[in-house]
Amino acid sequence: MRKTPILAALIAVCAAAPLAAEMKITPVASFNLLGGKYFLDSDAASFEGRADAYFSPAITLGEGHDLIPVYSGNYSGTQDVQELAGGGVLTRQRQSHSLSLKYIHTRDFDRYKPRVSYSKALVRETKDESWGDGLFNYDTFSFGFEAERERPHGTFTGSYDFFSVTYGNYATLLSNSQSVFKDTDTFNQLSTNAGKNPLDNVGHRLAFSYAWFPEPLAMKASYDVTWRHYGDQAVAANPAVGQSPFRSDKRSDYIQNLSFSASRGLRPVYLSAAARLGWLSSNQGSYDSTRQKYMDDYYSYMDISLTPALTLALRNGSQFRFGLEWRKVFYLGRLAQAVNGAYGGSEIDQTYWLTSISARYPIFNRFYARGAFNYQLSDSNMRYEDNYRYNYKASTYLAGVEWEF
Amino acid sequence: MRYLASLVILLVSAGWCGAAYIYEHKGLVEYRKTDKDAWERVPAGGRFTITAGMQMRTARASMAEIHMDDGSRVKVAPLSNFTLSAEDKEKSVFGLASGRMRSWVKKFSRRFEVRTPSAVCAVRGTDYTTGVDGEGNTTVEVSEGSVLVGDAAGRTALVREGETTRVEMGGGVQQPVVNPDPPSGDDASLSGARELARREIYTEISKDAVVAQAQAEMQSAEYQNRKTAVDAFGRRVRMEEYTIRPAGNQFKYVALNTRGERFDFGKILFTFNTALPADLSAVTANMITSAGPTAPSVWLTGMNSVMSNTTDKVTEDALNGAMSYNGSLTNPAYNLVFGTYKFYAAGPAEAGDNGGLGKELWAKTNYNVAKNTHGSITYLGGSAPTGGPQSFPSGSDTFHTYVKNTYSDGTWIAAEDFVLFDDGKKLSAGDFGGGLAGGETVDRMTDRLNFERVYISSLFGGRTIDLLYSAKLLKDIGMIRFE
Repeated sequence: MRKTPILAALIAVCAAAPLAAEMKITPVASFNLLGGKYFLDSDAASFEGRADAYFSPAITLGEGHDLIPVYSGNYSGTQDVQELAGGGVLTRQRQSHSLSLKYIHTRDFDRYKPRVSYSKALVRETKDESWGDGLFNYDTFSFGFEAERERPHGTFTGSYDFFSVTYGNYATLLSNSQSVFKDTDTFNQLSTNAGKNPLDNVGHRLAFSYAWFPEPLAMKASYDVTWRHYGDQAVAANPAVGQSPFRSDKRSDYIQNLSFSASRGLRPVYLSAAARLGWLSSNQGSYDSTRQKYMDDYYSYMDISLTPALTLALRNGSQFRFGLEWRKVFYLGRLAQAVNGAYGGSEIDQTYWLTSISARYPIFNRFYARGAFNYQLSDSNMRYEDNYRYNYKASTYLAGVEWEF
Repeated sequence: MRYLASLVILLVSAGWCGAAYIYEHKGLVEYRKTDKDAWERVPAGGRFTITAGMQMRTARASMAEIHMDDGSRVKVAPLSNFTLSAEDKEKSVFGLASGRMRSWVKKFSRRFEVRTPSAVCAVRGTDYTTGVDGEGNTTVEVSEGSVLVGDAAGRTALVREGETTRVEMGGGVQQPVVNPDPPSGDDASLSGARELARREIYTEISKDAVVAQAQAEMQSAEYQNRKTAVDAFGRRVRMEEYTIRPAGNQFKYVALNTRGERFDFGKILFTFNTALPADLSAVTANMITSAGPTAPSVWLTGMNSVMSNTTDKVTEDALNGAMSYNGSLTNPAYNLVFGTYKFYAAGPAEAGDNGGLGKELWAKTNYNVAKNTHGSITYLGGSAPTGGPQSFPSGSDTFHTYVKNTYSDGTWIAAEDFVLFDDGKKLSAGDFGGGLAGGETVDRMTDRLNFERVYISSLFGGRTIDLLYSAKLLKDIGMIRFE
């Protein structure tokens, strides 16, 4: 495995760290515990909790040399308003745990940061699933490098990240069925090119950003491009005589984002606004066996979002935040369906309006009371939604405590 | 001797005249002699002498290190603005308007002060950092020695090594506390390891979030493609449905299900009288009934379906299909009629019967699929099976039915059917909003849902065949009915 030598090298760095005479460890930690409810239109899920935490014994090895190991984890027993609505997943539970290690070399106003991380995401959605058995559980291994150059005119950041995502419990049914399928012709036709682990994917991401500060504003422009490859997910074909429903080529997606943000501080009020243009281009198609409809470019979309926000931060640590997000998604090949499921001629478009309000208030020492309310409106030309919702209102309210060290 | 004394006095005086100088600077560092002057850039290279009254500022990503002749030095952080208020043999006084500066002051030297809009920090021999935020509040962090910090009202506090204090703009010196986030190394450009760590942690968490968002998007697509669902018993079913075309005049629909370790599958082979177009929906829409007075040019001649749990199976086999005119002048149509339509079931013991089809339970002739009528019918054992009429175990308004037939040789088979949403909820009359009379029909509703059939038979040794699939295609071809 590729990850073994990298992890070994990082462990060696950690082991060597105590040798440094100037070494200093600074613990950093945060913990949030919130409880609340998710509503889809008038349907409410039961009261559930959310928790997230991180901990880092940040290590200063010496002047200009820092090592940041981080554990972060979260648990969510409620659905987020931005998750797929409907489908009987009102009570979807998730937890994730991530370990990462980053080395930072600082030279004047330049920083160089190699990093490596490993995370595990667990999802439980049905009665018969235990945490380890979740169909969509996945592990992510990632490493990357970031360089930051801070100059009087602005700060330039460039980064490269590699990630590999593995779904241990998800394999094509075809890959499990050879021994039991008593129709060799059917099996052979189906299984040609079908692959075994269609969700496993690897990605390479390049990101660049430039921040500059024309008084009284702070501005930032960013661009990132990701190539994500599904090495075992064959591209769906339009059925043809004597051929597999899969083509021999594999799915690849290109994702690009261009964003621009501006913020201004008018103490104690902080204003910000961001705009983003995204484009996902995929070679994957889809065949609806029920309605015998093939759609090319099924996963590709363009989206645009605008995100203004206002934050009020008082000296005593109290904060109030109000944010809006407008997002419009245009699918490039996925056709809209009528109420009865019949395909129309136009592609799906979907508009989201998300309103977020949150506040925190210091209780004592480093503890804060926190409350949050999120409300999302979704509107689409997709009318076929008995199973999944495209036109809906969803909301969550959450309240709890936050501890920061 | 007098000459020598004069020279010493002159040298000392000259030294104090230019005793502070910029030893090193990076980025953009500017100065001006008075408020009215324009800012000028500190020239690169060489020492740059700072005189009393001179104002200086550092830009973002810029720093300056100032040395004094007594060996004391000051490091000025980015985005700082200060004035060298006094510099003589008695004292050095810096006026820090905003930003941060770290001072290393020689012991037993002159008086050294950093004045801010809200505080005065006076020391002899120490290493400390002074910061002023945008509102004029002052923070003092002592790395070595001690610092006496006072506000405009004369209130003071002695801040010792490793401690920090804060002076609010309006006055009031906070009680010194242990510094939770001391300056990193001897570099004043970063406020501390904790702030650095926190920024990197957020970056790391946001990278995780990008990956998680991509995975969530992909999982959503899996759901929207109905590749996972929950069955009537609350178990997750993974469904894969495929269409393949074994020959020009055929297509085959295959549905695969897994629940935990269990595997069930179904397949239906459709054979037509002629080659099919690329768009199969053009023919499947009229397979059972073709409206109008003209006979369709493409029709189904044969159909073979198998449902299996990999050990047991149920097979339906239809042959000699043709389109038959319904004789109506007002609503003319052609209906599909199979010459023969047979139903088989098999456990391991019957797997080889009838050429591998299984044990024949019944056979119809001239089966009109659209009208559900037939010419003759024969049963296993010769006589019609016994069994109660179809029952509704979940209530008469819920699409959950059960029927069991027992043949005269003792063989029996039961079928339990469910119409389900993807979350496993059973369809009921209440789901139609205003009721079936409200414009929604069972027929239309079931196009959008899943169909689950559970077979159990005396031939299966206690096992079941349990298959979940999209209802529409099978309804289109008459294999399942909602009447």
